[in-house]
Amino acid sequence: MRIRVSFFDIVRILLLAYVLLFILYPLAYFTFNVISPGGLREFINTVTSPLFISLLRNSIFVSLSVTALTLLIGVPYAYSLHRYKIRGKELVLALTFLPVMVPPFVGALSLIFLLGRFGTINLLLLEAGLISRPINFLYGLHGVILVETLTLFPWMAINVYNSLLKIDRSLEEAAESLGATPLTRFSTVTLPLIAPGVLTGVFMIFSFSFTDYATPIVVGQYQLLAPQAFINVQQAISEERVRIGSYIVFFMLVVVLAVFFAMRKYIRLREYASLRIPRPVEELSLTGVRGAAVSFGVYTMLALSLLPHIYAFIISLSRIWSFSPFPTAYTLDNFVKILTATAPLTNTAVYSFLATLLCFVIGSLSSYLVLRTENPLNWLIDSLLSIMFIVPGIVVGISYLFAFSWRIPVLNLIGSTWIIMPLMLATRRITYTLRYSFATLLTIRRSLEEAAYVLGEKPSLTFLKIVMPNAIFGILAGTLFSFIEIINELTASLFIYKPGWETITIQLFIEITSGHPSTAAAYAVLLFLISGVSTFIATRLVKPRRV
Amino acid sequence: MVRVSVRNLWMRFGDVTALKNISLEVNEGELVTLLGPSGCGKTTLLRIIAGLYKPTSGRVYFDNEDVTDKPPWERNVGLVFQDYALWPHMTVFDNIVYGLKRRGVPKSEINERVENVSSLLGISELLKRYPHQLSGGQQQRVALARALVINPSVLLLDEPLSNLDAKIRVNVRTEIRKLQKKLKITTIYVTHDQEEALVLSDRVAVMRMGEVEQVGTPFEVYYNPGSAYVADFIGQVNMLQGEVRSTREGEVLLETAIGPLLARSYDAFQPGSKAYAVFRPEYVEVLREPSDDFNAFQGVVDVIQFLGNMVRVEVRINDVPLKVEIHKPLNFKLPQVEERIYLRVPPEHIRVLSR
Repeated sequence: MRIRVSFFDIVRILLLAYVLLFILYPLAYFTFNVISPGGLREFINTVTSPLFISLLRNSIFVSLSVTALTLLIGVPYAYSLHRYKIRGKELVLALTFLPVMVPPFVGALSLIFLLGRFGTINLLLLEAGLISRPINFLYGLHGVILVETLTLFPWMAINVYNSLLKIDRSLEEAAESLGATPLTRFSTVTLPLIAPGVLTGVFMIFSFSFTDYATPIVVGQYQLLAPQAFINVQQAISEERVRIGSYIVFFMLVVVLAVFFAMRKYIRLREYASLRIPRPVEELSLTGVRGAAVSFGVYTMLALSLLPHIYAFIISLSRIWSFSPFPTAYTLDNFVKILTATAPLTNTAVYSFLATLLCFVIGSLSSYLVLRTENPLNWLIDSLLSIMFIVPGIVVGISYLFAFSWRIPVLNLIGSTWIIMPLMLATRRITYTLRYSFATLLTIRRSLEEAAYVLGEKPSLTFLKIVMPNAIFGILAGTLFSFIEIINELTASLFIYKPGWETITIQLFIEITSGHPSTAAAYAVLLFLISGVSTFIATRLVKPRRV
Repeated sequence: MVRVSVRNLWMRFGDVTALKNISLEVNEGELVTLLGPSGCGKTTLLRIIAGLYKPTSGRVYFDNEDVTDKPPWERNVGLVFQDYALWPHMTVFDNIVYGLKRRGVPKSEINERVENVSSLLGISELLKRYPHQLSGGQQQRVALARALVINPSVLLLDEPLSNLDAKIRVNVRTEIRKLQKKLKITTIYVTHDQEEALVLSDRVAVMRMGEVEQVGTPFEVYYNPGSAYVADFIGQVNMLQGEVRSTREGEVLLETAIGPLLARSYDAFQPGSKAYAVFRPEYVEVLREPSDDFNAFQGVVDVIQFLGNMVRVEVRINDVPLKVEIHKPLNFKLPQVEERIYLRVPPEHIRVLSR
């Protein structure tokens, strides 16, 4: 039983309207489209066809390999960083965080120049006479696995590192004092405690690599579910092809949901911000061979994960670069080009501004509502918002495409104007704002608000004058992370954009697929810069403050 | 100043009933404490009076006005929170003037009232500081100033001293009492500390599991506890289970584990009924030698605790422990552990309570 006031009721109704219209409705529309009487039969035919089975086999192989490899690299990487003294750890942590921002298909572009048939490595090896014909690093399933492992393992590392940070050292000491060897201690105490972080990482990486179509398309690998679905829907050669595309997407959604519910017990949707640069804690110094090995491993992996960024930078500055290990002529023209082609920049600015604003408003109000009032509808609002963490971009894209298409009366007005872009972006990327808002508001004592009520303030103004000033930095930090994810969003935007609505990421993808890698790279560098600066600001915002 | 009346108040949180049919009157200018262990419903009752909870049923009146359905921002109450709830992003001054600004008090008057209340509480020097720059005691005063400056109809204090050091606590509670007397403000004070309740209150309402067990002056609840629960909760007490053997005009004879006990009682008891014999340790007399008197016993000393102003002795009689207090211990030759001693409990100091 709480105080009943109209402020909360209004907020609840507005939020409910939003989540019903922009989360439940598109997903439900998409789902019912597939499992309609005629649809279900076609769906079953599609997913039992030999072609589908072979695509599925490939997709599962790729996503499981990527997940396993990122685990194999990410867990020891995070553990070493957490446990041992490593030179420049602050910087290493900050840099580990950088690749997390940028979508893997950007990494694919860079790796083509590094590892492609006539990329740097092959050319150097050929020149040195070590090989007689180029090694195929990239073209094929193994290429997708390589690119995604390299660009996604930092995700795993960050998740695991954050779980490690939460372990109370005394829990491990207790095990040691009872006679556990380091290995027993790790497997019986440490591992179970970091399981939520590991499994959250596993889920995110599996789900991403299973449903990502951009990376395979960039490296020219179409024998996977996601690119097939995208092409069927995007090219829209016939109604039937679009439907088949949507069945594939629906199938992927079912798989992702199944994986999620299998691990649900361990995945914390509200876990305090897996996306943040963690701070180093008490550590052991290793000397001799072991120390050198640990440092070498960490530095190497970090360097590998940063390689795409460095390469994107080089590509963006190149004027001529063919059949030579490095560019033969440099230029700033690519940057001039992207800065004078204003549409993608202004579109990104407008969409991301509106979407970020929406994230801020929805994230802060919904967390406040859920924390401070009890109402069955709160659960619905909260669940629908949280679900956006699970739903893959390809599903969001196709759902919005269908649910706001020209066939739907009234709602087509949303789909036929650019306003759908910021709405979709905000809805898809609300998760971080939500997590940070929730975590921040949780630290604000309810008595602070009650003191204002008693002195004559109503809830709406209490929220603005008492709650917001104390929560603003935490919420803003979350909003900034949402912003970073918004400007890097591709997989859903690519489904719903219309000519003239291109954002930086869409334009970047177009430039790659239409053979302008250096222009694409310039866009990529721009994205790195904005993302990096935003991250820097965001982490400053969440530094410990007085309460 | 208003008179606060609470009538037939019920409060349920899901399956839990926090308040069961509470009725309570707090007179104008009176300080009433709600005393009880945690979970007894005292804070819930206070929050209902503040308007922060709406009761499941029952009414709350300020004078003759029914305020039950009024939200807190329309009640004009001053509330001091256990954690003070000072807004960290505002200076002490801004904290204090908040309620005045809400009430549209003119600027000149605001300054005057802040000056008055801060000199009253001795915080004039702190107005420009932020809450985190203050000590616990200072924060407590600021919270009190913020509640008082609006001239509230009722002052509500929710365990305001529980976060302070023992020594400061004693000083501040004396000041709160003086201030309350001076301002003649109707005050309801929640505490789990029986000593605090006795020192501060005009009347004490002892609560237990959502019910008011007894309301009375500190003197009454100490010397005339209405139930074994009240007797046990307030001060130190010896409580022996017994069975009424016989009754006479104003006297009851009980059979207890330490033997027959004679007690003064004006309540009627049926022979054979179960009862408690209740008496305070400071009224147990320690004798030099055995006595044939009524209520005289012999026992063995179990524990001796020196508390400074007194010595508390635990004596075993037929394996029943009994608390005895010896005040001014220097005037008395103290017994030793395991020593056999003789005790007498005067019948006029034993209360018989039914169980």
